[in-house]
Amino acid sequence: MDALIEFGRGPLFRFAVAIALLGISRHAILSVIGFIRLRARVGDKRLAYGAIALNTLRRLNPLKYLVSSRWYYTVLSVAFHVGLILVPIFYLGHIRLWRSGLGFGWPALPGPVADVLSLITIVSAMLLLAARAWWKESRAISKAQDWLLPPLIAIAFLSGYLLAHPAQNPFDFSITMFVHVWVGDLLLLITPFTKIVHCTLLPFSQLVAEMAWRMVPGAGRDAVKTLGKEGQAI
Amino acid sequence: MKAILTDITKCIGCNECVKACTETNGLGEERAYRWRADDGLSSERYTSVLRKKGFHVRKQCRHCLEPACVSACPVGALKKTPEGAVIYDDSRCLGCRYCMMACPFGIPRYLWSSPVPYVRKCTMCYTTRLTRGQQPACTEACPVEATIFGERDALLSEARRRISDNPRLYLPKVFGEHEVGGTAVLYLSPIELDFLSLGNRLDERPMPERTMLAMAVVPPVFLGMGALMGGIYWVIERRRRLQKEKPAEKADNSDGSSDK
Amino acid sequence: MKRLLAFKSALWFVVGAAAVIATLRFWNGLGATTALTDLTPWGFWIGFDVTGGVALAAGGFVTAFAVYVLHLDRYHAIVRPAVLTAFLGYLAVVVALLFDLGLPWNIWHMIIFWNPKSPLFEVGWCVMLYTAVLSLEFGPVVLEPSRHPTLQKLYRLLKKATIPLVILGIMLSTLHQSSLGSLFLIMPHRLHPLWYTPMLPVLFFISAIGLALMMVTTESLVSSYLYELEPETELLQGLGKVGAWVLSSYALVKLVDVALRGRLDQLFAGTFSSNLFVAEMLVSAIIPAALLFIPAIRKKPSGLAVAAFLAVGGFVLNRLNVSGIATIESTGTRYVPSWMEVVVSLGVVAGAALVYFFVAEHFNLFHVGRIDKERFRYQLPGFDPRSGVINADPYTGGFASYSIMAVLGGALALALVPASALGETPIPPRPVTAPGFGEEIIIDGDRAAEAVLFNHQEHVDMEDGNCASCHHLLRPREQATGCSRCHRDMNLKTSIFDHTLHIARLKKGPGCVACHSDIDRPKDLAHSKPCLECHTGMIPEGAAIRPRDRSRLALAPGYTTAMHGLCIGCHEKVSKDMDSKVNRLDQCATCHTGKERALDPMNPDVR
Repeated sequence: MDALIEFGRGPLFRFAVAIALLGISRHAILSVIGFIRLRARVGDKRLAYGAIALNTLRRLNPLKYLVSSRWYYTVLSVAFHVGLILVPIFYLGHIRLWRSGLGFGWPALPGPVADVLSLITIVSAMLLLAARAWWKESRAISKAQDWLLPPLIAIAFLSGYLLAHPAQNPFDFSITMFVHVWVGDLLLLITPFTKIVHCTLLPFSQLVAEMAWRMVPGAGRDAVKTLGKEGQAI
Repeated sequence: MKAILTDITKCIGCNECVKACTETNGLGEERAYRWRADDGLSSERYTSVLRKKGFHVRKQCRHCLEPACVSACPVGALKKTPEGAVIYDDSRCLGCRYCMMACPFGIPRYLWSSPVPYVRKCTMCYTTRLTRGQQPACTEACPVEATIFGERDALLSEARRRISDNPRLYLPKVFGEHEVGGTAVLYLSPIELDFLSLGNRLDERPMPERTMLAMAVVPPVFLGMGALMGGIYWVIERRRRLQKEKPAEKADNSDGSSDK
Repeated sequence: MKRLLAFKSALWFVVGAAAVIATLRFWNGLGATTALTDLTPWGFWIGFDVTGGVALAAGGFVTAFAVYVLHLDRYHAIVRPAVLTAFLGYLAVVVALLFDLGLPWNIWHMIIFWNPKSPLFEVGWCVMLYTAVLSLEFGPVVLEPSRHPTLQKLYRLLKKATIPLVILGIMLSTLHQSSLGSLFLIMPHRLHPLWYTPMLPVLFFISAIGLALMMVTTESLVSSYLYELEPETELLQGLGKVGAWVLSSYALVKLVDVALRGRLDQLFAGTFSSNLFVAEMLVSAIIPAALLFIPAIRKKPSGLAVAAFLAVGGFVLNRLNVSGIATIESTGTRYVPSWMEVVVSLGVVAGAALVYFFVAEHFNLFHVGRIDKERFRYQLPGFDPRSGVINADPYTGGFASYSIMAVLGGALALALVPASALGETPIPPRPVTAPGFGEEIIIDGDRAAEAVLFNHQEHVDMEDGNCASCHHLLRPREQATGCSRCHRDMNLKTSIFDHTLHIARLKKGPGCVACHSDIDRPKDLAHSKPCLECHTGMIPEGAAIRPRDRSRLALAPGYTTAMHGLCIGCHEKVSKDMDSKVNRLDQCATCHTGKERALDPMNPDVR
């Protein structure tokens, strides 16, 4: 068990981090290349970059959606993301590992804050999953990764919380550590291949959508031809 | 030409020379790095005292009269000064390590652990002491005058005097008088000092001489090759042109003859 | 195109891995990523990438000589690939050299600081100039399709300059192909006498020509295999015939040279080096030449391939031998290239190969014209298949899968690198062997250097049986813990704390809180109970050494440091009223007399 934990914290972790970082960079590079290639085909190249950027930022603002019919979705989603992003990066124990491995660290979240954020993330992940299961429309558009990711994240956070509070941990220390390390590695490993990658692709989405409206005349027809869907309803 | 004479029989192995060298050159802690050789020299130690057959033998740069490293360095970062010291210039070096490959004594060491690495070797305390009229730190520190500093000729005659005074104590030669063209660091020894050099045994030919011929023929080979290639091209091109023109000429002639 | 795709994917994988290693090379230095040592400062990168790479790229000048100087027009079809291989080969050499040089940003120093005596100076200049010449020689291929008037003018200009450029290229190649051999003339002490000869430059030059012919053959066969084109057997068998003559004359010159130097007896001495020399001769020259002299073999692509592969491998082995393997016997080096060195070298080659394929697919490289791929004219912005986020250009075709291969390669490399490549100080572990106990102890921790004789009884008497004077820390239930029980490595700090043991012992009792008293605070040394609070007898009364920080009992310094620190420190204190031997303990020779032979574990009684 100890050997497996060490493997998960050593070579496997390095492999997972490299896959996550390089894979995300790959998506970013491909996005830029794709953007440049798309721009070459766009008729009207005068894009209002400032407005598009503002629009993108506005879309990220959760308050905007608070008045919508599904406001609880927004609340849950934001609560889920805050902990998901902050805790793994700013938890003291993790920073200490970075410091021993990399030689430098950064300021940490206070322990109680990290605890609360983890619990919120665990709870909101389960609630999001429940919401997905509850509505027929949600169920219809869900893929396998939509079902698998929230529990995985919840397991990673729960095991992490238990490790930080061994007094409340009903399980064996080594087993908890093993689960935490390996699920964490797994999440890093699948980052570039699942919807987690939206963290890099999101900034481009508005820009691309904007440009898609400006394709040269006839582009739609060509696209239909390219796709081999001539004569079909689109 | 200055030189250092080390008398193996006098050395008591006290390591005062090593200490003085370390202090004068501001050398750091010696660590058991993977790349370190087992002769005690490293980028942090320019001299060391080896224990061989019950004797203490100090190892350091030999400051060859015709140094292999100086002739090898592509950018002239290593120099032989008129005083006799072989010195190294950080700012010129590009890190090819050809000097380390060329040195028959395997003296230059490298700062392998650094992302900005330099070559390190004994410089006879050239900038810190020699240019100020002082002798190197190691010879000054020796409590028993086992290693002494002076003019090379004077030290050579002193060495010969010691051998003739005490012929049963020493091997009858001054180590460094003739090897690889002579070195500025001389040894008197009762035992063979092969272990001070690296690899195959060497004769008295200076190392740079071995590349001299190959380097001397570079310009003639360069120009000669150019002339040869130009010549071959010209000859074949001309023959081709003539071959092409020949049928045409024949045609011309036949046309002309018919005209007549 | 399947085999091409597979091949390219593999190349991208290697490039990705090499990129990660190369980053670590620049981040943590040469010592962290290579296996080079002070006595073996040149390794795989010089042997394979530089001396091998330059020789492998000789095809450019040999083919240009045949076609433009000798006017052998039938070989025109292979000029462009050969020149491109040469150009990429030289670029690869330069890139690889940047990894090997300690201070690569100073590479331009060669332009302003001259040392014409140095063969390396000459090689540097020639490689620099010849790479420029090759770029001009190859320029027309890239400029040809462009329609811009200036570029067209440039294209015509370069076309006109072909002959002078080719001749200049041949002149430069002659120089540096031979001068690479001159590099090793200054190393008679390193190189085995079978290889070391004043003829090295000439041998390097002749072998470069032979290798050039074999390399052009190889490259032509490989690209026709990958692009599924008809192999140019007719041309290649011509090259093979010339190659047979060049290779056999190379072998002859080499043997005559060995004979003239009077080393023929060493040829069959049966040692590692002499066997290696014979094997190299057979693989690089004799067998390929013999194969190529037989028309039936050289007229078949498979026959050509076998001969050419053998020769290419043999000559690469020759360069590796001269620059390293043939020096093992004389220098006794421990150097074996680290896998990271090999991966970087392969990555540079793979990168060059990928550029070659790119040029083949976008320009008129082969006489059949450019290899056209089916390309999408339009692609709609679409949803990324995995993330579900809208995406400018749905990743289709090769690049997307290739880049995944690069990511995988890079990640695998990072996972496998040793700790030293990530910045940990590379000090190899060297376990200590405990001395035998008796009245006199032979202290010989690493069983390598000569031992130190230590009179234990004398010291016991002197201290009136007060063991704590030296045995300053006792492990639980021990009277006098031996030095090597805690100081377990010659140089490295070793931990004396056993976490697993503590867990096992405390599991049934108080549990983790026994040491991690406040369970919610970080579980590190600073927040744990000091060892001495439970192990009260750990530091005996009157101990000579007292840890400065009592909570940091866990790490024991290296054996050397510990022994020197204890002996020298104590003797300095008592020196004033003692005889001279005790006085001079700070002088190495007092203890390391050089007279005590190392303890032979097989014959403990023989000293």
